Order: sequence, then C-alpha cells, then structure tokens
Amino acid sequence: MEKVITVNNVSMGYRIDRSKVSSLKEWAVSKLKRQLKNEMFWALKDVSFDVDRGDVVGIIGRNGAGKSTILKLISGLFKPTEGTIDTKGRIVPMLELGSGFDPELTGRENIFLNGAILGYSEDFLKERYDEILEFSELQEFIDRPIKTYSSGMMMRLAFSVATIVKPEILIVDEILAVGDDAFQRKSHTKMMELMNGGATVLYVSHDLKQIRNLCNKAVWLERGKVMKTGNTQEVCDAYKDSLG
Amino acid sequence: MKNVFSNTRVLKKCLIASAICALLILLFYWASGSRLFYEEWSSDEPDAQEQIAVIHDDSEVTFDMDKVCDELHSVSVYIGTVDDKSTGTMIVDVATPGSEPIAQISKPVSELEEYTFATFELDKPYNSKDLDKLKITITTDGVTEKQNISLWSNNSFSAGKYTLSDMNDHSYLLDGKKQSGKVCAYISGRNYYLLGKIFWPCAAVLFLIFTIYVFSMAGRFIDGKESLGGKAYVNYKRYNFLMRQLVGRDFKKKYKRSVLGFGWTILNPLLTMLVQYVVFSTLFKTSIDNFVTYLLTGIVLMGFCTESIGLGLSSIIDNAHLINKVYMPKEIYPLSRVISSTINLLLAMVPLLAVALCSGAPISKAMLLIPIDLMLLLLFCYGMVLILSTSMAFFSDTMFLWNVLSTLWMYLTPIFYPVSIIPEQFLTIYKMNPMYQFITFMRTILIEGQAPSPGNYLGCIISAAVVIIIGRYVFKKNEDKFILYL
Repeated sequence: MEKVITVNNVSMGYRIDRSKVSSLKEWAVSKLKRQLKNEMFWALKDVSFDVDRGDVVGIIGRNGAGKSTILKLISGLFKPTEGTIDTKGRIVPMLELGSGFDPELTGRENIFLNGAILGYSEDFLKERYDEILEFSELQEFIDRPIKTYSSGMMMRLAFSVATIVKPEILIVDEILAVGDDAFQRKSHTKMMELMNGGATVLYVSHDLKQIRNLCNKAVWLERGKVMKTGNTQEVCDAYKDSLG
Repeated sequence: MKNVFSNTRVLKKCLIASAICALLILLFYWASGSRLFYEEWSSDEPDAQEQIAVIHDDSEVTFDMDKVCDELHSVSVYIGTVDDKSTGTMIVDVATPGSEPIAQISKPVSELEEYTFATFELDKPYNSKDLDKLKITITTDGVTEKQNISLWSNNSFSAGKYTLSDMNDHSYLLDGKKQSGKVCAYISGRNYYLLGKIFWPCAAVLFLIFTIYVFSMAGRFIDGKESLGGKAYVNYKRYNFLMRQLVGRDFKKKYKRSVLGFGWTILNPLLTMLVQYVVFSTLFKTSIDNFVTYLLTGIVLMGFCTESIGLGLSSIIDNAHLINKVYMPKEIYPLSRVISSTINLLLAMVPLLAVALCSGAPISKAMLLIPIDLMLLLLFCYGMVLILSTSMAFFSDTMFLWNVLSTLWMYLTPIFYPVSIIPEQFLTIYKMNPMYQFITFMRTILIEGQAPSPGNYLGCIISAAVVIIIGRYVFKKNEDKFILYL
C-alpha cells in the first residue's frame, strides 16, 4: 500500500506568554523586565502515524486533545515545531465552510472567489458552475450580495462549492450536514459519496457511532499524545472505556 | 543547458527573450538621448540690480566665475543700456585663474540687445574639467563712452542665498580697482557623467547575464529542476486566477456603492490638485515651471505610495480568517493589495498625462521611460508593504505609527513646494527620500521633456532594491509565525 500521509514524531508547541503581548510597548516593557521566557505549551507531543491510500481514518479524543491542530498541520497551515509531515496528492481541507466569502459580493462572485481560494482552476469552475448552482438550489438569489442570504443559504452555497471537487485527500472536521432537513440529507449523502469514493479521508468527530461505521482506522489522541492507533473498533472501545 | 538547443520550442522562446532584452536596452538608449552622457549646465543667473560701469576702449572689467563645468561652451554677460549700436565690438577674454588665455570672443556692438544677457559662444568647447575658477575680462574695440554700454551687478542679500562672506568674495576689478559686488554674468557648458563612458560595457554585461540566466533557467525547467524564475512561472500559473479574484474583490467592494465608480480614481487626484492649486498657487507658482503638472505628478505618485502601503499594511490581519483555514503562499495577500493600487495608479496616469500635455509640457521620447519609474516605485512600495504587514501581524501599533509617519513623509516630499526652499545644508539628506527620487524622475520627463539624470536612476534603483530585499527577507522569515499570532 502506498503511504499518502506520513506523520513523523511531530510536536507542536505554542509560546503561551508571548501571545499576551500584542503591542510594541508591552513587548518592550516585558523584554526589559525579562518576562519573555520560553514557556511552551505542547499541543502535540511526539505524534507519529501514517495513512495509506484509500484509508478513512477517524481521529478521536476529548476537547483540547490536539485533533484540530493535527488537521491544520496536515493541511499545511502550521509548520510543526519538531518532526516532519509528508503528504502526497492534493489536499482539500474542509475545516470551516465559506471562510473566503465576502458579504458584499454576490453569490456568483463568491463562487469564483471561494473556488479560487480553495485552489480550483478557472476553467474547472466555469465548467462546473451550473452543477454548483444546481446543488445549492440558490438560482434565484445568485446575483444578490450574500449579506442578504440567511445563514442556511450561505452554508448551502459554501457546501456546494467545497464539495464539487474529487479530492485525493479530504480533511473533515465533523460531518458537514447543513441547511434544512432536505438539504441536510442531500449534503450527508454527498459527504458519504466523497468519503467512499476512493479518496483518503481524515475525519474528526465526537460521534463514535459514525466513526465505527465509516472508518477503517482510528487514532486516539489525549493531551497531545497518541494513546492508540489501529483497528477502529479496538481504538473506539479503548477510548470509550477511558471515558468511563 | 545543452538540452535547450535540442528543444526547438524552448530555444525559440529563449532567443525571443534575449532579443527583447537587447531591444529594450536599445530603446532605453534611444529614449534617454544625450542625458546618459552629459547634462547641459549653467551657473546661476544673477538678477541685475545696479549699474556698475560703462564700458569703452579705455576701460576694463575683470571678474572670476567660481563654479565651472566639465566643458565650457559660452559666457553670458548682462547688458543694460546700449545707446548707440553703430560701431565697435565687445570682447570677452576667458582665462584660467593663473591668467593663461583660454579664448577670446568678440561680438559686434550692433548685435547687442538692451537689458538682457548677451551670450558669447566659444569657437570650440573648452575642456575645463581641471579648473575650479575662470577669469573673465571684458574690453571693447572702437567703442566710445558716449555709446553708453553698461554692465550691471548683483549685490543684494536677498532670498537668503548669499551670506556675508560670499559678498566679500564677490568682487570685481574695474580699471584695476577692486569693487564689491557680483557682475551679472553666467557661464554655460556641459557636465559629463561617468555612466556615459561605461554605458555600452554595462549594457553588454547586463545582456549577457540575462541571456545566460534565461538559458540556464530553461535548461533546469526542462530537467524538472527548480530555479528562481521557473518557480515564479509555476506560481504565476497556479495562483494567477486567485490573484485576479482577490484584486477583483478589492475593486468591486471599493466602487460598489458609488455612482461614478472608476471615475473617482481619475477625479480624485484632479480634485486634490485643484484644491492644492488654489491654496498654494500664490505662494509657489512663480518659482515653479508648469505648476499644475508639478503638483499633479507629486499628488499621483505620493497618493499611490500612501494608498498602497496603507492598504497593504493590514493585508495579513484582514485575511486572518483565510490564513487560518486555507493554505496558500502568504505573499499573495500583500501582493494582491499592491496590485489593486497599481491599477488605480495606471488609471490616475491618464489625467496626469492629459494635464501635462494640455498645460504645454513637451511631448518627448523620454516619455517611454515612464514605465521604469512606475516599476521601481511599485517594487519600493511592495517592499514597504512586506515589512509593515509583517510588523502589523505582531504589533497593531504599526498602523498608528504609519498614520503619523506617512503625514510627515508627505511634508518632507516636494509635492506642492519647490525644492529651492530647502536650505542648502540639508539638501543631501533631503534628497535621500526615495519619494523625492521617484517624483523627480517623473517631473524631469513630463515638465522638462528630458530623460532623468543617472544620479536620479541610481537613487530610484537603490531605494527599490534595498527595500524589496529587506522586505522579502523579513516577510519570509516570519510568515510561518503569523498564524500563531492572528
């Protein structure tokens, strides 16, 4: 099996006291007082695992265990403090939908803007524009500024843009089921389609039942450390036991 | 590099690239004209204030010119009255301070005009490079006192230009007797630039470096290896669509609710100019040629500088939500802001050129050099944006500091006042202001119809290079840390 993601002894540290300093004056004062000690908070400590092509990997753990941090590291948003991460293929992170939307622009303009931000080419977007529009069911509103949209409509548009590609590596933070009942079913089906469509998936969720159903592998994180990896059922059982 | 020659398609592109380079160098040479080699120079023209002598065959006036150019072409002397033009000639002797004769020029009295400078051209230009002073003697042949041909002097302390010690230095000999004052005369000639001598070798080296680089880059590209240019090309291909979307967003948002839309980009500098013209014209108009163009050039270029930096400065924090969610090279954010401002600048060039031409500025081949100024200015501003947006990501104080400093900067740049109001001793420091260099570049072209001087090029190139190198270094070094602070 080909390894598409290799995480090698990765640690991610934040300097906590530094983050309090946000103005030049505070920085100078604390520099003079020698308060800027390198106190590190380790969000991840020595994490290693790898993912084969076609794997659907569930990442579980309590709040603050470092699940989102590992996703951001794999997406390339963070550089690890120590260790390395190797990825092969195009990654589509679905960390937060519609983050590139601009409320002043129309729906149509936002499809192109957001598509460009997600890394789609112009030709691809033009070709698939109708498909996006159809899936979002927003035909009559598409030329209005999206600040006039309801939050549900905005999510529908964002979901439609984000899921139009067939990604090689898909990173999902909680299943994205958005909009009203009917659209939720539709988007859920679409997600399942993507996840079962041969893509490699990294999936963070608190819903153990869904993880057991969808994933063939799981990683359990606890306070920045890997507690257990491997077979989904075993990892989930161990995690459930720890919760008591 | 060998593989380039076997691949005809790539070889053709490389050859085209070096041909374009050669063509640009030739175009540059043609558009710059004589300004690459020398400047036309004249010493200050003193105002005539007082009649000092009536010259005739028995009189002699001798004085020194204490500023000399590399090649002397002519001497001009102010003539006051000429009552009778019928006979005689006026003779100007030019000599070294040690009284070795350089030239003797004579002019029939019939050619003299009243109350203006009479110019005495040397038969052939004299190489006066090693001289620091010239001795000039005025005599006549066949002129009587009755003809009343008068010379004038300037002995005022006005305009703060001359100090007391200057006044003591400015003296002349009338029939061998020392008198104080400055005879109204000036000399003209040429000053040669170092660049003129080394232009062709420099151009050849530049061309060779460029050609070799293009070929080696193409070679690496075919082999699939990375190179600076190849990487830039790949990044351009990959992010050009995103870039257009981001720039388009800036524009759509800026003009969405305005009736005139793009019209404002053109109207804004014109209206600012109008206001400043009304306010400052009585103060400075007389001392500046083509005051309208002078003003508008400053307003447009300084406007671009403050707008692009002011907008670009917050580009990292404004896009925090994107930086936190999607990976892409972070330089895209500041770059897209600077590109938006550049489009505004190009639009604002339209009224600038229109006003320049309407106000009688000369149409010259030097105008072909305007893109060089704009490109260097663009690089300079982009470098500033990189530095300041990095600083802004860590300290929000940057914005407040910038607001104050940009105002100060604007007043330190000659936008609505002439450079001549700056005291001589501060001029060197004053001219180190990069905006001074960029604006002077444009004004030389638009108002004088001439190519900028080599010193001016150097000022612009150094400003742009230093700032962009520091900017890239600072930005690259810190870009991975942004996300931890946003």
